[in-house]
Parts: sequence; structure tokens; C-alpha cells
Amino acid sequence: MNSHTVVTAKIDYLSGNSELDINDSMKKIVADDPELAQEMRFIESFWHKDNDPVDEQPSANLDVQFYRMLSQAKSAQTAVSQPERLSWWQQLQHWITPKPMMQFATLAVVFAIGYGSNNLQPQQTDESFAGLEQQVQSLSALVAMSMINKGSASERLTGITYSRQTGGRDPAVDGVLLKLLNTDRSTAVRLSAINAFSSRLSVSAIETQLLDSVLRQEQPLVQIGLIKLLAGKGSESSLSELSQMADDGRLTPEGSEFLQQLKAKNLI
Amino acid sequence: MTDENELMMQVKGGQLDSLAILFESNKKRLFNFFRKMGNSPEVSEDLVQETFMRILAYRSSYNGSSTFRTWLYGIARNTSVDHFRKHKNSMGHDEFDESAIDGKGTLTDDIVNEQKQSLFNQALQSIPAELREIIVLSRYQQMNYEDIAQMVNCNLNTLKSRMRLAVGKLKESYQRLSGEDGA
Repeated sequence: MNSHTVVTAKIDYLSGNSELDINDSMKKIVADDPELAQEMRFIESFWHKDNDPVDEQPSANLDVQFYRMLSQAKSAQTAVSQPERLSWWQQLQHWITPKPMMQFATLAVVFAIGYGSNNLQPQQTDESFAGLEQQVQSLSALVAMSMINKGSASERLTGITYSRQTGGRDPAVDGVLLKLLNTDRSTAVRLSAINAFSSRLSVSAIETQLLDSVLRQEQPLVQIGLIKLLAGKGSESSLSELSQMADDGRLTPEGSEFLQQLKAKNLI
Repeated sequence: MTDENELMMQVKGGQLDSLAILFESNKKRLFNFFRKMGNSPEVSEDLVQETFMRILAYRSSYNGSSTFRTWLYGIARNTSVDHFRKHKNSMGHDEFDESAIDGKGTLTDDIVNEQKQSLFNQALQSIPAELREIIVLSRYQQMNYEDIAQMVNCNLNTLKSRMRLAVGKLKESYQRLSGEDGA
């Protein structure tokens, strides 16, 4: 055993690549060699928790650049992808070989329906099934809300995605999503909340609140995202409201310019 | 980690929104990796952006045989190498910005620790980039030896001996900077 072995063992231990610190015979080698002892003190000091890194925060510009790039990539993807026409056989194959979760869910539904139809009276069947459905929906809404209220932006993003996947129609989930849209510190979370509302514009109360939210947004990216959604899927009254906003000076310069462009193309 | 691998597989499958989740959970760590490698904040942000652009461009090559993090840092290393190659006439590495780590401590211990951290950082910038890299990946990015060895394409024993050499160089530089070398 030489000093190299001792140094390597110490670094392995401090860097978390070994669970064993140097043993007694290694400690003796260190004690007998002042130069090695000094090296060990340096290594311990470098890995000491007082010298843990002070992480810096990147600027908001990084978010802006990334989401612009992602948005462009998504636009390019939409433009390139052509709807693929499948034969009835391919569609059947596609349906028969879904992901395990889907397979499990399908089996569970088939089992529940079969069990229900064999064991319940006709009038009980509808009530029980509706009750079961309501319970599942409430549970999904609870899970979504719990995820949306997490501390980190990435967890909130996951929560928003989950709320979209579970087809959340719960007003409480809508309320939390609106709060995120208006107050969350992360641009990514706000943009994701906008996406989550893209299938909910048929609810007039939501549409009205999204219109109000346009004026609350200080981030041009978020404001433009909202305008894009409302101009693309909103009702006539929303289009008329947006048209007025284009001229009344309450928007960010970028949002106002975007609306002017939509007006010029007669899209609002 | 498994979640990140699944998210990357979703990106590969065309669900580009999942890249936003990967970006949010890795941007700060990656930014600090580039900072510790000696880049200015502006260049570090550009390199993070470039890394994610490459992830998007090369997403079809991701096969999940390594963890997403190992793959991410592999791309980040190549991005960094390309950056230095392009700018090698104008710079070795950016001047290390000490103000970034100068804290507001008032207690003596805090000040001593900050000075120490500042010296460690300066010493780190003065050692060769290939040695600096393995220290940064291990000490500051908390990556294990298996992942680092896979990334730098060497076996475990070679990595350990490079690590020992890197720490030795760091110590020499630290002592020189702190005046502890007896000079």
C-alpha cells in the first residue's frame, strides 16, 4: 500500500463513490508522512460541506430563448407531420397493442362493466357507475391539484400535464390553473397553463377570465400565448374584445404589435 | 432519474412539451457546470441553450442505454468543446468572475469560507480543462465514477488515477494562490 492508494481511497469516500473511509493501516501511513497528511487535509477541506457550491441562477433571458426555440420546433413539427391514414386492420392492431397502462385501464373498465351488469339491478347500475366515475374524477382532480401546488416549477409543469391528461373538468382545478397563469413566477408554468386551457374555452366563464388575464400579464411571451389561444379558439365576443385591446395601450408593446398583425390579417 | 429517461423517450416520440420539464429541472445545474468550467454567465447561458437545441436535434439517437443525465452531460461536453474550438484564438477560458461568489457575510467564519471558496474556484480555473472537468462533474455535479467514465470514455481505474492527478494539481494551484507553497 502506498500514498496513492490512500489518496484514492479518501477521494472515493468523499465523492460518494465508496462507503468506506480510509482504514486504520491507511491512517497510520498518513500519520507517518507529513506531506501526505497535508494533502489529506486539503482534500477534506475541498470536499467539506462549508465549501459546497453556491449555485448561481441563470437569467430570465435563458427561459425566453429556450421557449422561443421550443415553440419554433413545435410549429415546424406541426407543419411537417401529415395525418397518417391507417387501414381498419392497422387501426385494430394499434388498438390491440396500446401501452400497458391503457391495457390495464381497458381491462379494469371491462371487468367493472361485466361485474356490474351481472350483479346489479338495472336501476342500480347507472347510479353505481356514475358514482364510481365521480369518485375517480374527484381523485384525479385532487392528485392534479396536489401536483400543481408543488414548490418547484418542474413539478408544477408535471402537474399541469397530468391535469390535461386526466381531462380535468373540475372547477377547483381550473381555479388553481388560473391562479398559476396569473401569478406563477415561472414563464414555463404560465405557458403550460395556457396550453391546459386550450380545450376549455367552451366554458364562457373560463374564456372571460382568460381575457382578463391577457391584461394582467407582464411577460410578452405569456401575453402573446394567451392572445394566440383566444384569437384561434375564442368566441366572437373575445375577438372583438381583443380587437379593442390592440388600440387601447394597456398591453405590452410586443402584445400590442402581435394584435396589430392579427388585425392586419383580419384574424380578429 | 427514471422519470427523466421516460420524459426523454417522450421527446423522442414527438412530445416536445416534455423537453420543457427536462429543461426546468436541469437548466440551473447545467448553467453552473458551464460556469465552473470557467465560462462567463452570458456564455454559460448560450451553452445551456445550445445543449438543449442539440438534444432536440439529436433526440432520435437517444436509446436509454445510459441515464438521461449522462447523455445530457455528454452533449454538454461536446457543446463546450466546440465552443472552445471556435473561440480558441480569442480566449482560453473566460476570466473567472469572483464577484459571483463574493457573499455578504459579516461573521469571520463566513468571510474565511468565502475566501476559501474563491481560492478553490480560482485554483480550479488554473488547472488543465480535462482535469478540471472530472473534478467539476464529481464534486459539483455529484456524478458517480461509472457515469463520468462512460462520458469521458475511459475505464474506472484510469478515471481514478486522473482524479488523483487532478486533485494534486488543484492542491498545488491552491497553495500557490494562497501563498502556502513556501514561496
